Amino acid sequence: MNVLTSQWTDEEILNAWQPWHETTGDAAVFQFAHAHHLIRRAGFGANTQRIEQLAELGLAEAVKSLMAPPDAASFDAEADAMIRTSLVLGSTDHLADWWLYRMLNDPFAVREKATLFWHGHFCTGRDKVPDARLLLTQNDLLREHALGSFAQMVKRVSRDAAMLIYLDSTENQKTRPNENYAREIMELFCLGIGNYSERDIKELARCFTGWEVRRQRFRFSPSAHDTDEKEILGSRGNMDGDDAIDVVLQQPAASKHIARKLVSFYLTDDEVPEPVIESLAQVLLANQWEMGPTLAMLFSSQAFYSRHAVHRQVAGPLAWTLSWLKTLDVTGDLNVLRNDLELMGQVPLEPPNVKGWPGGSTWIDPSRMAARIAWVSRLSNNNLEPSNGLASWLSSQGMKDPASMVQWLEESLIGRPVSQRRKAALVAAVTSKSSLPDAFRAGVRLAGIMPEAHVF
Amino acid sequence: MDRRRFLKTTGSGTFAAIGVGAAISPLWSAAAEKTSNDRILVVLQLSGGNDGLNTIVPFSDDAYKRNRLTLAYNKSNVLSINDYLGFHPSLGGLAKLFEQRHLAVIQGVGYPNPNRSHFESMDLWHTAHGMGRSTGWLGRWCDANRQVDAPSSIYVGRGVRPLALQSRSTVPLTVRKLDQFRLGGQEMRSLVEEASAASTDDDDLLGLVAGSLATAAKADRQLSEAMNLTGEGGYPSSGLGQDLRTVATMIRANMPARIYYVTLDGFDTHANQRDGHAALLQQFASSLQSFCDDLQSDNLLDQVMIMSFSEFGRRVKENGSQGTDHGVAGPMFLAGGAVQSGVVGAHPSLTDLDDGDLKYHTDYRSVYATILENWLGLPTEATSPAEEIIAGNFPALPNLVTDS
Repeated sequence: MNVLTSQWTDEEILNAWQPWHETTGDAAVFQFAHAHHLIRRAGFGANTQRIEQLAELGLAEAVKSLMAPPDAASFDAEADAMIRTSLVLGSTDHLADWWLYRMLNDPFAVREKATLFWHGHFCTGRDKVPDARLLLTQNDLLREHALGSFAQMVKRVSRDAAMLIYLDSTENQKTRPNENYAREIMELFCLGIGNYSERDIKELARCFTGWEVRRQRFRFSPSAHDTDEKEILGSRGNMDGDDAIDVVLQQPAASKHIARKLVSFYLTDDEVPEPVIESLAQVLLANQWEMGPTLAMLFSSQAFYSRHAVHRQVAGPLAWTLSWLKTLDVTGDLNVLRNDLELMGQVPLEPPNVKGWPGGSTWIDPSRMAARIAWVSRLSNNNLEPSNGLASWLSSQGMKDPASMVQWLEESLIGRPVSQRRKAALVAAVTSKSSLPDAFRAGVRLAGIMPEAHVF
Repeated sequence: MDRRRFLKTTGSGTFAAIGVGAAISPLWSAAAEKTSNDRILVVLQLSGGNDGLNTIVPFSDDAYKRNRLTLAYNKSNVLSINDYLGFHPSLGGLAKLFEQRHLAVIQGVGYPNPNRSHFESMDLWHTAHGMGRSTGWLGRWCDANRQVDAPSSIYVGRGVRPLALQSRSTVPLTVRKLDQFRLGGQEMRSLVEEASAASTDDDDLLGLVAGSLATAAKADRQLSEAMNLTGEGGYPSSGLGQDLRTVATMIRANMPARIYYVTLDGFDTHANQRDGHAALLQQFASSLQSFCDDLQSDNLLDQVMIMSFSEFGRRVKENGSQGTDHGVAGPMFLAGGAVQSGVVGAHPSLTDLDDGDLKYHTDYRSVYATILENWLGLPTEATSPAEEIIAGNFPALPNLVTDS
């Protein structure tokens, strides 16, 4: 069907989700580069100390520590207090900035990244729902279920006021069933196009009658609910919304739909062979839709560290900027960052439409690349001041001369080898400056406009 | 621990087309550059419900004078089109375009069962598809054409991107000012050009990013030249004037978008309408005229069509506050070098009303169909092309676009 399918060997397809072996021969030892790949995909990147620490732990322990960080609870409490205070101002800007803060600082980065994944799946945009409280409620809901049961999450999302407002589904009388939400359940949330009929949508809409929003809250109105028999995807019964979601999720298309989205978010921009999707779908079902164990398996799998995943994904604006800030040990002004992210095409709470961010090549539209260039240019000029000062920070990172600096830029910041000619340019940029901090600024700026920096 | 290694990823030596890239065309990929004779549509939205009766004025109609006791214009004020109709006195720019044969006035445009809510009526104009659609008519045109030439759209303004551009396959761009394409000087541009030069080591993804960086550098260069060519003079300093100047610069720089979208807000004139409405019309007409003159000076006007609309007109009878309330039908304008100039359709009767409102005779979707079929063009394989984009069969208006 497509060229790429043939490029996966039979063995790669068969063993895609088998554990990646750390100990079978020297070449497969879990190294800095593996840990770097892991933390950039599973989370939002890290500084070199943390990456080295993960590498020392080895794959199994590294994944364990990412899935259950010890200091998560105290950060949760702190973050919660922070947003409750600023919610008084009622601005969705504060909410977006707060979420950026969490993505950058939350020790439970895997959960934060998964929350972003679900935000792109169960999209709600603040242009249509400009209510910070409702959006926070939804954001908390996604975070709460990000690593939990997908089935539970669908049921909760179906009662989420922000979602129902976003999809024009606040009114749903049995005399006039609203098909919008039912359609998106089938098309975007659970099954994908081609796996249901228009009649299934109409019948599903009947199951959700009486599920409404009143005064910005979800409410079930029994008198508006259609209690007659429905038939969805071949199942008959007097189903309500929850029953209907169970029916939908029993479709083989459902686990494949989610598996495909996980692969495109966490693994690769490429199409992957259908059997690889199918076997991941089986894992999802075996885990009874629990996302935590599924992701832990994914982060430990052969496919995740294979040539089909490593450096096969264009880094989105959030993934790129946040991982650079973390590796550089700087925070920057999140309010300014949000404006830059807008020009790069990805602001939290502003998905482009109900389908979410399409990612891949759409991230690197030239005007969006121009925004990345402008960002890295300003970052290198004005914002490279780790708390203990740039000079001493450089020395703590082992950058003591141009050669070690170029190596650091390539390994730790870009995270992959750059072409010979670009490397020569990097060497020239770094050696042309008389002080190490100036050399570093020039190096970061040039590194940020190298193609290699934008493909993780 | 030895960290001086990178992950090996390039075992096979060949690279396949990436899935996402194959499915979604970015604006302005190197392969999708607009060819210089592609036609461009500029949508100019007048938000708030423009008073059509005081835009194209039936100055000699007794019913007009009766209903507009304080707001009527007479023969000596208006810029006459004929002995019945004239442009509002502040529409000198439009009168000039009309004289140059670059303007069509389409009268009596509306739709059945009119909705008087700004928001809902605007949604209808944007989706052309009833309520609750998540894509717009122009976004669906992009969807229908993306296999052909990867068209895309650009919204120039400071508000929320219009629903009309919302698409399932392309991501419309929002441009607030051209600075967002600029790389910050000659030195940075040179660095980007150097870093983005293709390398034999690049795989397909790196090639894609390198190509995009190279195009960004090229855009920076083209825009810097175009910005010098697009004169300060002529354009009003108002928001719309500057937005249209931005559009002209992008057209001159041969940006690959086929659709541009700008807005002018403030037409909800419930009270003391006269001065405010005149100022808005003045801004509208002088900005549009500057834009057309600017494009014409570079022989670009033949490839550009401007369409203006408002979500509804206003009631025939003025209210007690020297203003007008939400109504129904109103005029639309088409401007450009290829527009067949003239007045299209009769002015709706001012005595045969529908509950105090003008009766429309031309559905707005017929104007859309005209633009889709005779200007932007539709994929040849489509069977009932415009119908797929604007739900329902709305015949295109004849003789609005000159064959070139």
